[in-house]
Amino acid sequence: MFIFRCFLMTLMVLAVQRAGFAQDQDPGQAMLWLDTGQDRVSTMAMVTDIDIEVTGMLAHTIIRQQFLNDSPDWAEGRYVFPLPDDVAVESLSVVVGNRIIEGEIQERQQARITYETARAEGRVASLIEQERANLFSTSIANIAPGEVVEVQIGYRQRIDYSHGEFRLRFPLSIAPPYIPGASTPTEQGSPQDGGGWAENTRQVPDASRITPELVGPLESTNPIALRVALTTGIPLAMLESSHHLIDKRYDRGSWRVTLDGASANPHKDFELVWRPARHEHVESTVFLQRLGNQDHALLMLIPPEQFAAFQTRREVTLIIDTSGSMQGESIEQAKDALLFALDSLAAQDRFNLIEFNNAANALFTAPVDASSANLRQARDFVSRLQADGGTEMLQPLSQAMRQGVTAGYLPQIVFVTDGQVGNTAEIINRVRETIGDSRLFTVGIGHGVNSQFMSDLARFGRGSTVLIADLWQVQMRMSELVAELTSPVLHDIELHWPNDVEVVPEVMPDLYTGQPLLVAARGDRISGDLLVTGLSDGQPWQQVIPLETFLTAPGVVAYWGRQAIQRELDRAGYETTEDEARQRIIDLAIDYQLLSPYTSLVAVDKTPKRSRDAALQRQDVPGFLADNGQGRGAVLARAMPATDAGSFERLIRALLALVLVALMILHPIVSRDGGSEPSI
Amino acid sequence: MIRPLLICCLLAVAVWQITAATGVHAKAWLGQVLLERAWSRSLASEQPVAPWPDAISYPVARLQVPALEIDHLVLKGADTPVLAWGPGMEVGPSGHRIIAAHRDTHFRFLDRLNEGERVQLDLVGGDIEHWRVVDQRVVDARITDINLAASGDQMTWVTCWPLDAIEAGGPFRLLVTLSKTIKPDQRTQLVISNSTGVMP
Repeated sequence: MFIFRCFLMTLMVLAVQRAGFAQDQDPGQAMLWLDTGQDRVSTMAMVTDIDIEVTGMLAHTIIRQQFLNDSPDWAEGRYVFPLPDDVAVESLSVVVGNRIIEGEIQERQQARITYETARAEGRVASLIEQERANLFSTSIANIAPGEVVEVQIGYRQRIDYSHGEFRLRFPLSIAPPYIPGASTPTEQGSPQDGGGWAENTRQVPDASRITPELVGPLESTNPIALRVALTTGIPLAMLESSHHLIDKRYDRGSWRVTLDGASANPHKDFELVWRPARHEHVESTVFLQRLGNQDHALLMLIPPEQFAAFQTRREVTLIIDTSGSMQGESIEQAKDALLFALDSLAAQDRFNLIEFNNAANALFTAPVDASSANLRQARDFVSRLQADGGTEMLQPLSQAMRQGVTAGYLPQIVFVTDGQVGNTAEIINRVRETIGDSRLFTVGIGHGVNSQFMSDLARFGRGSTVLIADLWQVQMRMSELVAELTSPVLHDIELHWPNDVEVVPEVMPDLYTGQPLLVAARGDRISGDLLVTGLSDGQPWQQVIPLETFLTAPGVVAYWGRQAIQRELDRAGYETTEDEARQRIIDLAIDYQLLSPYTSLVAVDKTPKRSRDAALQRQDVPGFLADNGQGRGAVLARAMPATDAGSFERLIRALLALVLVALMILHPIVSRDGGSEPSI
Repeated sequence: MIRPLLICCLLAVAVWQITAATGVHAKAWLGQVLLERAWSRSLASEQPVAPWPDAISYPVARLQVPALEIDHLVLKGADTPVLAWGPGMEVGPSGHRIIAAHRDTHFRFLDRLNEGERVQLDLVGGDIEHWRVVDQRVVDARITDINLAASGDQMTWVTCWPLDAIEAGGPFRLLVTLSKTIKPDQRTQLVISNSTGVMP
């Protein structure tokens, strides 16, 4: 539960705003709010269990928390929890008493209705909703007084990788969010009042929904148990926890890591770090999982920690936005960024430079060698640039993509802009149609940059994006980008699958130091040898991966499903209509049991529990033995008697027989009438 | 001619099924009428009396729900042959009473039963017990049993769920839990003494 809270809080922190100080709350844990209709009380989880399964770079986490409704009334419980930015919640189950209620993915609107209906009928139900991109809330309807409710939530995420190390974080504590703005008091108990410690404000109109009460460090004594099953697929040089004592052991291809809950400090985030054994070149590994009658494979390519591609010849086209919106500091940052990129060019490279505002203006008609004379000319050109005029983005991009690629060169376009244009969809479509072999890297300048647009462009251009908000960041961010531009570990990658498969992503990206590459495939049967080819430092590179040595691992199927949903989102409005895309995404989400923009997760019990107005305190009921034998005190089990005389069934059968008789008697009369018609 | 033959067959089926269905209700009604005689005799003798020669069971209690105008004689045992004639009762070692009845006859009224409803149970010895409904829930009979050894302050009613299902023999059961209450006259006294007590 701590973890949960932690998650929640992290979410909140990320979601709301980091600026400012917390308002009279210390970091702690979130609470479950119980709403009995008359008042709201908060309660802590009694037990928190976390299970994390890691496959390659994919983590599947299940959080199990138990709450007690210690109020004398029936209650609706609601709690808010933060999850890391890029997670996908995919399962939900609620255990009440001895029943397990499994969540199912439903279309979003339908999920709401299902929940509301179940709540009104007095049945146990639970619904997860997204409050922010990374802030979720769970509602549980009709918790009986004195009843223990166990909530299990499962989600998936990607593991961080940097400087040759993989890093799994689980926040065990959460800081309260900063709520800016003037408060707009709401009446207690009104629909706007979420029950949190913060009042709604003009800027954060739902602040009270996302600020559950926190427990201070001294009060939070409930135990946490955390277990990690780690299947890396490659040998490890190191595996350790940054802040906690852990117990680890190796068992049949995977590591089992446990955190001692009693001694764990819940106010430090749990962080597990592992480092693959040192390797000079690309490591590859494949995982397999079967769903229904289809095989799903996940290929992971891991770059070496350091790589210098001295022999890779590049053809770089730099495009700079000199429109009016770039005036002031932005143009200075952009110029610095360009000079940095020019400095990275080696003697064997070729380059060109295009500036644009109302029209595009190229320094050279075609890319030229990066000779010192040409570079000097380029630097002069850059220093004379001034920001003025409109933003005609299509023209320079088309020009750069059209200018043709010299054989043997890796074409790279570096696009420096603040992204202030209206026709983003048109530009993205143009890039998708004409990008060809070129790689497109985007550099976003200034504070008002349209980061979604920048990263979409880079994604379709198989490149990456860097955002530079302030002048002092130019050096740091541009060195990262230049390192990527100059040293692709593996490019022009091709996969030759032995069987007919559907691969996501459809266009293979390049492999750079600093980020492993994941590719998922689906086919009826996947076996044989997978051949991976590419170019590395100017040389052909290839690797044969026998698929018989597949590591069977969880998470592969879900990864494929999520990537396929992303593919459909990308196609929407381009290759498919919005409606087609929507339907395909709903189908995928339901087949693979994933949340998507069009589906929600809802859990409903099938049996009636109470009438809505009955506010009776329910007593412990020793008369029932669920699951045959979990007893308290004396037990004398008796099976349920048969209590159905079957009279309804018989009446219905009799009725059916009579209807058939009636039809048979009437039928000849009807057809005789019909038969006489033609003679008229 | 096949059609008249078919019609005859179907009619026969219809008659057979209707007879069987009404038979269930007739037996349930007849049972209660016949039991009434045995019940009054057993009250007089303070001994259980068999309703007819070779009867498989005998009445052991009278169950009344005044608010719903329900009045049933309860038989001993909860096996299927017994339940055709009336609700059947089994009693655990500590006095936990379990009453089972068919959802389409004697326990049809459970869909009108509210939590807090008062129930009266007259026993053969002349004792009158007062009960109150405290819980209603549906369970899956495949994974849930009844604990006969539960305390004697508790009574459990069992019938098939859903009450208006078309098909017979489903796995779900509606369980109604009742707990023993003090008699109405004592209750009144308690309320009075409470109201004259010290109030804040």
